[in-house]
Amino acid sequence: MHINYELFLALVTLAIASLVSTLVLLHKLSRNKVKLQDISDALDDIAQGNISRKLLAKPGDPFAFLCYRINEITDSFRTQSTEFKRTEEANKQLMTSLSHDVRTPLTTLIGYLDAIQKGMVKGREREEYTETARLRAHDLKDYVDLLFEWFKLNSNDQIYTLQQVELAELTRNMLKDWIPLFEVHALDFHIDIPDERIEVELDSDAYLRILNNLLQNVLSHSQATQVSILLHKDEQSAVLTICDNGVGIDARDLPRIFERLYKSDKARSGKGSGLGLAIVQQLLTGIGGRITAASTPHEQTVFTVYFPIQ
Amino acid sequence: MNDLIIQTKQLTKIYGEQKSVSNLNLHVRKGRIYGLLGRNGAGKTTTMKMLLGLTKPTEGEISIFGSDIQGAEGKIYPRIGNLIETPGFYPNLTGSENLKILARLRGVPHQNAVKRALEVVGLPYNDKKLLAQYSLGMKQRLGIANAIMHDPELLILDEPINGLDPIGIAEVREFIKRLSVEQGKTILISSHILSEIALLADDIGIIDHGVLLEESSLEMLEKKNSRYVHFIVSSAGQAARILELDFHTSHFHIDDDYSLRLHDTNIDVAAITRKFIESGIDVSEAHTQNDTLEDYFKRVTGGEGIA
Amino acid sequence: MLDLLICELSKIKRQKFIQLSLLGAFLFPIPLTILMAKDRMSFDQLFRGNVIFGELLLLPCILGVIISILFFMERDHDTLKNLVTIPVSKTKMILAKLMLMTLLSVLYSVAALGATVVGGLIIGGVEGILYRLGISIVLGVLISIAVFPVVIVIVHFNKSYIFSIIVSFIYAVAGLIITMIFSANPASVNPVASVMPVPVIMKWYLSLFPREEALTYIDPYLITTPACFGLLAVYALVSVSLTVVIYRRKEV
Repeated sequence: MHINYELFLALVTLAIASLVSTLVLLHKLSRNKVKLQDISDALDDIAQGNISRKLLAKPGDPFAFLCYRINEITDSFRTQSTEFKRTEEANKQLMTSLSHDVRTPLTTLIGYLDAIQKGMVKGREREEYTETARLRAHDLKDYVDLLFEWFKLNSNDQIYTLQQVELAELTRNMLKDWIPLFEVHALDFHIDIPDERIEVELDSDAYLRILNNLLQNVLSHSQATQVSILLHKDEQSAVLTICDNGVGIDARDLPRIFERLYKSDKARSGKGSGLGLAIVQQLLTGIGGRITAASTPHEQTVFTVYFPIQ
Repeated sequence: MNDLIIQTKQLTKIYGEQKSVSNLNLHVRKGRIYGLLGRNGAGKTTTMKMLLGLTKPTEGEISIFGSDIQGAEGKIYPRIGNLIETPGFYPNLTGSENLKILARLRGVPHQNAVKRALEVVGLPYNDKKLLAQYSLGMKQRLGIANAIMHDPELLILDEPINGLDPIGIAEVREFIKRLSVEQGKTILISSHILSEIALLADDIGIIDHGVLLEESSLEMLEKKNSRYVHFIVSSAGQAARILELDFHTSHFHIDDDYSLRLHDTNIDVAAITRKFIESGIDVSEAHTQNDTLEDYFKRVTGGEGIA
Repeated sequence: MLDLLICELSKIKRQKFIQLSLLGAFLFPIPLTILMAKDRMSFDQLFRGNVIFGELLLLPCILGVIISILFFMERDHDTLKNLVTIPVSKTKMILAKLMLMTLLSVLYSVAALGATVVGGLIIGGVEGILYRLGISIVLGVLISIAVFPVVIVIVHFNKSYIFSIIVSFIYAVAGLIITMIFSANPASVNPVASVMPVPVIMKWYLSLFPREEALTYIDPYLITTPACFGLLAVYALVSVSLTVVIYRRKEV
């Protein structure tokens, strides 16, 4: 009797154990099926354009790796999409600003020319009007040139040819052309370029444009009476510093001066609008350099440009 | 509109004798920040609780992501992150332990979701500090971490800047803005602080005593209220009559016997002034002024402003 | 469900009471050992004594407090809203908490076994440890189920820990008294009282070991294993269902 009872008990336990295991397995299978269905539903949603849809999985889930992978993919799509929208928005802004920046001087220009044509001015005044109209036309052309340059840079069509250059000599040569301009604008200048050689790998065209844009910025916007151009070398970079004693830039505006369209209030008039500095920024990104700006309003502004020494 | 993430129809909640929320028709559009503005006790939290299934509505329907929430909770709530009232966590556990429990129950969208969420709100990962030692500001941040951990498409945040210092407030504000702009999330926030809502929200719903008094985009509200002409005259009543009869407008508001505000700014102020004077009404002041959103709020709720 | 259980386990980390309650398993074995040693009782009687006092009396009280901790923690720390919006069904939450309570009950029971074994070694000898291990585990589960009706009361009234202790204590004492009366005079026990969970468990337990001469009068009143399990299963089902209904009605 006793032995049978034990055997019976053992068999019953075994039976229950198998039953329970089978039920658990079946349950797991059905859970997997449901989970796959959920994934499929979410994928449908994503396919219809809802790229924010995420699949959630617990660490022990059978398809966790799948869910995480899909999320990674939709994440990168979402980032791209945001970037795209941002660019679209910025371009829209640019277009609007552009038409304004071209229309205004053009309208003024036409105004002068119309006045001349209608015979509304005579003699000395007429000559002055003609001269103003001519200057305005040149301004417009310079502006459009800058714009084209910026667009080219922005669309990544720009190819930089990096060559080994000796920066000190190059800079001295470039500045030779600027000295007469400084004198014409009654700008005291101080140039400090070391005698030693500074070997850098960069695109000399780009360097020229950067230097020119920065100096043009001083000339047009700073209303300064003094400018200093310094070149020196530290451990990692060649450093070009341009410093002026002009109106300066507000702390509020400082972080944004390299943005395409940004003009601080004080710089509303003058050439180049906000593009000059934005172009500098673009060029530097292209050749691996960077720029910082510091300013004390009404006292001084310092632009520091770093070119990496390869 | 197909891009309504949250839509309620005649949503009502009655507690005993009191109607906490009355016939609310809420419309929260996809990808936008909706600010639910109202004084304390206006019914903001109750509404949000009903949306999240924490409280059963007495009447009305709620649809989120295009489906009625009844019966679809398992599909809908994983796509929502929320922070309701003060955040609740287990005091005997650390911040990470608390989040890990919730992560285990909810599932996560990527491997290190808890770590990432804590990083985003600026709290340490796997440190030893127990929730009992957390300040209100830290708890609030942990609550936000919990709300965003699973990268939900919809966020429902009840007074998210509650208990934060000014820097924290600015940080959370920037953060919420980024979530909306960079990640396209739809966000429903409630607040009794008008200035905060005005800085954040794209759409605003004004709720008072359980009733949704107005629902409109911030842009439109500001436009509607940006300009009015304030007249101080010898007789507001007479002036009103002239505005109606001669200028065919009724978009004005009489403050008292001598003061009236004209919101229809298409009409030439000079012409109006001339007509007033011609009709024997003295005009001692006529100037264009901006109504602040706060004044508007006061007017709409007929009360003393924000508490 | 497993996830929920693991989470419930995580929630009681650093919870001193729950860690200490296991020590309660050692509470009765010590004096009982002393008593048995004086009266030269057998290990069997020591074990049985511990079952009566340590498990039928003390364990339900301890479990009452444990389940209160498990339920009240959500209320006291306002964490229910986080859970409900995941969403986690309240039903599953209740089941998980009850499961944890059962787990802890089993742990307690096995710890008690350990203590009595030590006591048994002191008084002379131990026997059938493996068998008793199985019984301890089952007893842990059964006592836990016996506490389910108390859970209904605790959840429904949702009051303080003191309230829970009092209710569990009254329940445990009542159960013990019925059991004592039953042991003395089985026929005199009211049929309703005799199917209360605690007496049922006692009646089943007694059937597991050979009784000494003096107690054989009890034999006709004992319950078979299937009957005991079946009865308690019914209790479990009914209690859990009621608890679920009551808990779900509560607003978060």
